[in-house]
Amino acid sequence: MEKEFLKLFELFISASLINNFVFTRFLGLCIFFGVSKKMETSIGMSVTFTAVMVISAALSWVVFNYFMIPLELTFLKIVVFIGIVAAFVQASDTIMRKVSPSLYYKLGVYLALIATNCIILAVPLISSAETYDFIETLVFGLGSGIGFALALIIMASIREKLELADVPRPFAGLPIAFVTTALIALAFTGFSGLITL
Amino acid sequence: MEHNHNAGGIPASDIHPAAGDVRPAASDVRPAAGDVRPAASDVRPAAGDVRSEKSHGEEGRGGKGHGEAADAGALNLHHEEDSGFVQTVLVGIFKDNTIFRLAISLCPVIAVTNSLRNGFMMGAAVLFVQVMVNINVSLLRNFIHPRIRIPIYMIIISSWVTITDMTMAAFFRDVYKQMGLYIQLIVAFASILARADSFASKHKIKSSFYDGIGMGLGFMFAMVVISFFRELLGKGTLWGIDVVGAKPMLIMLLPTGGFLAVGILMGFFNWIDIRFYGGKGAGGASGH
Repeated sequence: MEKEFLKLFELFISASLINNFVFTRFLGLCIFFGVSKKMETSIGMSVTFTAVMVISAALSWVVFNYFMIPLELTFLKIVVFIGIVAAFVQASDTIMRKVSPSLYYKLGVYLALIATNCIILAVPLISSAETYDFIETLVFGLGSGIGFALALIIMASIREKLELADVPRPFAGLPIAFVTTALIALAFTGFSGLITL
Repeated sequence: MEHNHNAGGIPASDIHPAAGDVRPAASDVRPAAGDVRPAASDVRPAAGDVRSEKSHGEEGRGGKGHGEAADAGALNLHHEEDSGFVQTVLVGIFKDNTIFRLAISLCPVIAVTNSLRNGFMMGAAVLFVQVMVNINVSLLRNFIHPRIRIPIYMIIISSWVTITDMTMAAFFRDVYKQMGLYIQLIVAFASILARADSFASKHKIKSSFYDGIGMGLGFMFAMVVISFFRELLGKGTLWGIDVVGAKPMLIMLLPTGGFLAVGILMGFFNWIDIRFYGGKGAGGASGH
């Protein structure tokens, strides 16, 4: 029991810090650069993203293990995972609109961005490749969401200051954001020895 | 020079030969793209760009790619109206280059570009998927109902990505081991979906084929340039062949180097655009 908890903890730290999805695996960059300009959009996106990530990871796991493996349809996993994510995002969009319009007003716009994006597909793909069990998949999804949130918040706080800085014209906007991300990624490389297995 | 920007599919000033393809685009609200389509008689220049060397018969329209929140306010996609192979390919490589100008589909770029071979293979895979998807969508364009077109495109794209994925796993085993996940993530590329939606669904097979090759080659070009610098500076080799005999900047192989390479190269392409084409640069360089 103790060992399992430790293993889950390692998985969480790995997904959020050591193999951070943005800085180490380079996923979700389109969202990352698009949303991280302001702090409030970053926070909204983080919350939405973590929620969608955990639930779609769980759904994908269920479908993969209970339908695709027994029926030997694993070669369809790309098609199916994208279908699940898109359907789930659409469903949650509709549900949120009805159940809690205020929440939808704040967070709904991010759903469309998450719908088919590299990073939301990566979690089911990785966890099916590494054959995690259900709890591990949930922890992995949660860890990746938290890691992404961390990345967004760090980036937003820097970019808000960068808007006021005197950046050379060819570099203004996206190129300087990339260079900034490079420096943050350098810092995150320091996490690589964090947990000695 | 003015550019007549056509709302998609209205044949008023359209010299497009596909007569049977009438899309009620004037009142068509496309939810996925979030466009506001101008009326057919609307003439507006591309956002700040003066493209002095465009050939006749060019039409372009601004619009957002598939829900991307990329800083570029409007993706000014240039469509070459049957203007031949070379023109279309050049558009794909220089003017609408996916990575450097449109700044979308960035995810795999940094991951796989740590060696020239990987970058080239990834570019080849994307080229293949782009061309096949374009052809496929163009073949089916009269049969797909506009309302469900995005899910249908996703099915088409993910099928071709599965084919590419399995082919690479079978024939290029060692390359696949290093970047297997990123090949599978081609399915999430906004650029393929956007191109299928904006170009292939409205043009005949030949134009779509050329366009697919153009955009795919543009992507491959960007990948090759980035991985050229990263491998040369990081490992001192090119495609495994030792060139420099030392490891100049090991950092280029790390994630940091990837971001740095893309940022600097993007700045460089922006500079070229600003200096020689009077443009405003990509990735939201305008407006700040």
